[in-house]
Order: sequence, then C-alpha cells, then structure tokens
Amino acid sequence: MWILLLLFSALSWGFPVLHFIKPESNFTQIVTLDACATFLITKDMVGCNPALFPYQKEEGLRMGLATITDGESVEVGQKLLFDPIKEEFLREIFEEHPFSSWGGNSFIQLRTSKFYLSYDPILVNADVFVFNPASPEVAMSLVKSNRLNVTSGLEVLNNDVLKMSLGLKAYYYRSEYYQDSFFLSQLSSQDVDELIDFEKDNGVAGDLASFFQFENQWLPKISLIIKNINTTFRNKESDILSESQMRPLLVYEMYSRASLGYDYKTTWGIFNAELSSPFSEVFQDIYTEYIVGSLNYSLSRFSTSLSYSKYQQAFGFNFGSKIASIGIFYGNSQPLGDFSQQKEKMAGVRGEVSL
Amino acid sequence: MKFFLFWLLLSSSVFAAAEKKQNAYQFLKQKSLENRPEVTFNTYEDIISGSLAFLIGNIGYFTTNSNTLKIAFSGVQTVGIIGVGHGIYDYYYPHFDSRLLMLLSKKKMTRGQLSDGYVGLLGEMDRAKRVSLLWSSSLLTMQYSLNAFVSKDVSQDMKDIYLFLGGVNAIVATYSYFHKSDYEEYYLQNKSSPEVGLFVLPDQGGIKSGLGVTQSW
Repeated sequence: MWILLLLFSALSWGFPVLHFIKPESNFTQIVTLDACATFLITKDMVGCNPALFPYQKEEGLRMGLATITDGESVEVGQKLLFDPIKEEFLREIFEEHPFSSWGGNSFIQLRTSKFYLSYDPILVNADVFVFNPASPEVAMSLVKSNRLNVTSGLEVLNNDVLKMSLGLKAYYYRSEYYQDSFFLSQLSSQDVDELIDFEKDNGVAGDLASFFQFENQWLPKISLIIKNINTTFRNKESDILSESQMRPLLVYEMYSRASLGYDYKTTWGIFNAELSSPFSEVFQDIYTEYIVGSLNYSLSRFSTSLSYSKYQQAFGFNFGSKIASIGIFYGNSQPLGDFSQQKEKMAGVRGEVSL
Repeated sequence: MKFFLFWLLLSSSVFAAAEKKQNAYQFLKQKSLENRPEVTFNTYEDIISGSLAFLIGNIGYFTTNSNTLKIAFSGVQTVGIIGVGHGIYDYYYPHFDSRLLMLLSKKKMTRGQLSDGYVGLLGEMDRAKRVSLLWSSSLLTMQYSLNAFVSKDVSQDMKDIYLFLGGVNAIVATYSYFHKSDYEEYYLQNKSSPEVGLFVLPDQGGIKSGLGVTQSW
C-alpha cells in the first residue's frame, strides 16, 4: 500500500549538482552511478551495499584513491579547493567556463571477517556556476571532509525460498563546506575571504541496508538502502538559503535507494544488471529523473561496467592482481540537470593497493 | 580422590593419543579438500582476464592523448601481465595436499616411489614459479620497450623509466630462463626423456607411416 502513496516529484529548487565520485565510492559505484547494490560477486560489493557483508571473503588492508583526471573542470576544481580564491580567477571562469565540477576521494581500509574499518582522509567536491550575464552571480559548493567508518552485516534468514541479510555502516564525519552564492560585483567592495566563509560541521551518521535474494532465479534480487541517517546536511526546500544555492545531490544528505537486479553466470564470466531508483529521505518522493540502469561483466580480476541515467552516463573497466588494482572510467553528464544544458565529459582513475 | 584424578589423566592422555594417531590421515584428507584452488569460472580465468587487461591497456595507451591516462593505462598493462603470470603459475602449480595424499594412498608404496613422487612434486612447484616469472618478465620487457619506442608523445623522463623497467625485467627473464632449481632439474630429467614411437597418419590417397621422436621441456 505504501508504494501507492509515493509522490512523484521533480526537483525545483536551487541548483542540484550531480557527482560521479562520492564519499567512499569504489570503482563499481562510480561507474554504475551507485546502481550496484545487488552485484553479489564483485570485490566492491560491501561498498555498494553493506547488507552484502555476510557474503564477502576478502580480508586484509587496502588503500587507494579515486579522482577525476581529465575534463575541462579538473584544473578549476582543484584550484577552488586547494588554492586561495582570487577575483581574477572567478572572472576568468565566468568568461571561459561558467560551470565547473570536480571531485576525489581516498581511503585506507582494514577488512576482517567480522567488520570493515576504514578511514577516508580526503573527500572533496568542488562545484562553481557563474551565471546571469546581466549581473553575474557565482553559486558555489565546496566541501572538504574526512570520515571514520565501521561496516558490518549478517544474514538473518536463509531458507528454501529466500535469503535475507542486513548491513550497517556507521561513520564519524568532519566537514568544511561553503554552499552559497554572491554577485561578482561584490568583489569590488569585499575580499573573497569575506564572501567565502567556510563552515565547519561534524557528527555521526550511518547507512542501513537490506538485501533479499530469492531461490527462484526468475525473481529479481532486491536491495533497500537508507543513506546518511542523522546527517546534518539537508537538501529539503525549506533548508535552501537562496534560489541560486548549489548543493550536491545524492551525496551528503539523507536519501534512500531501491534496486532490482539480476545476474547470469557462465563459464566465461558473470553478467549483472540492475535498475536503481533514489528517493528523498526514507522512501518518500521518488526521483524519477535520477533512475539508473547498469550492466556489469566480471571474469576473475577483470570487470567492465556501464550505466545510464537521464543526466549521467558512465563506462569503465577495472583490472586487479593480488596486490593492486587500477580502474579507468569515462563519464558524460549534464551536472545541473534541466537548469543548464552544459555537458561535461570527464575521465578518471581509481587505484588500490592491497597489503 | 588422588586415584580418581590419576585415572582421569591417564584415560585423557590415552584417548588423546589414540585420537591423534588415528586422525592425521583424515586431517590431511580434510585439508586437501578445503585447500582446493578456487576456480570461480574456468581454469584459465586469470590468464583470460590478464590478457584482456593487457589488450585494453595497450589500446588505451596508444590512443589517448592525456599524460595521466597514459600512466594509468601503463599501470593497466602491468597489472594485466602480472595477472597472466599469476594464471600461468596457477596452471602449472600442483595441488600439494592432494598429490601427497595420492602418494600416501597407494598400497605397497616403496621408499623409492615415495621419494620419487615427493621430489617430483617439489620440482613441479619450482617449475611453476620459474615459468610464471619467465613469462611475466618477458611480457613486461616487451611492453615497456613498446611504450618507450613506439608511443609518440612520451616525455624523455617517462622513456627513461620505461627503459629502466624493461631492462630490469629483461635481466629477470634471462635469469628465469637459465636458472633451474635442483628439484626442477631432477623433475625435468625424469619427464623430459625423448620418446620414440611409430606413427601412422592418413595421407592423400592412402596412409603414411614412420618413426617419430618427441621431446618436451
């Protein structure tokens, strides 16, 4: 019955910005746009869905990082986050490339048979949009954060009809962020430091996940995940400070995701397919524009994935050995959705080392 | 009380000793089943996935204009070749527990036969390591040489790095080709004796026959 009460909604406030790289995104999550919650056999499965923890076998220490390496926004994004922001730089952005977006993450993770413990020292997203030629306005979202995470899960049901498991990821986060806008003309009377004032935030939040697998192969695998429970980041209309405020969507705020998936195993590899839809809060409004379909093929240590949604498409391949893995991904997106027709093409790399 | 404790200790130790004596073979049998190599898809999956990485790495390396992606694809080539080497190692490496179990299971096993089997097993293990290293080093030498000389937009620093890595792998490959352990020498001596035999093959309008010599190494 609750499904009938879902409200279909298109977002109509501020500037929601889509990202490929999110906190703790592994390769499969990046390339499938998070539509990997039912992929049982991949090494990234617990990152995709904590409820798959009971089925994982890998143990040890891993470290790595992911970053966008090529694209028009790379240099702009890096300068916004790591260099002092100057007026000339902002005017240059307005003239040459009004919208820029960049992201990266890093992690070190200890995997045991009972839990995963990981520390993400650097998680960054940088978005800037300079618009309104008559009176240029700069909307900016800059986020730098780090996290300490614990993930675990258990199988709660296993009979002839159904297997069901639950998973939990709890994390402590510390963030510095700026999400607001100002007019370019304000720079003539105020310093950039006065206009861009980073706020600090910290707290404890978590993800709760469930996974259902039927013995009947014709029935799909189902996953339900609630992300970022108890986070202080908000993306509700009442929380937006101005109409031109830019906020990363489906990254830091509380949202949920429902997924249906199938897999087909052959002697020459396994194929996975998934359809995933995000919702606001706890399965309230469905974000129809951000529904994703993904496909994945894996054989031993090689995997390739592609995904498609209305505003983002991605493709990539990952290769691993016992001690290292490297993934390369390509993406095409319209990061601001219907607010701007500007498209971004990018390429990125994710590398891992296992000890 | 003292007599009871003495009796308890004696019976425990006898029981434990009896258990230990009886279960060693069963324990080995159980471990050989547990330690079977895990093949998820097929025996050649590591070689195939490594080859795919090698192929895609080369296509990406020689078609991209981005320096960062060139380095990333070079990493992919390396990981792919390491994967191929690992696959070759798994292919040649004998399953130690199962083979030892097979030797011990034979009835009327002589000391010579047991020694022959055990030494042969060690020889196969050394051979697997050597062949795997030979193949992966040779492929890496070829790959780094290609990266250095064939690619057009590579800086001199990167060329020097590729040549250095290629040189190191060439030395490792040469060493792997010529250096065999004593166990492997013994194993190959017993396995590589030329075999002579008659052969008969169909030919146009009839058959042809002759004497053949086969040699494996």
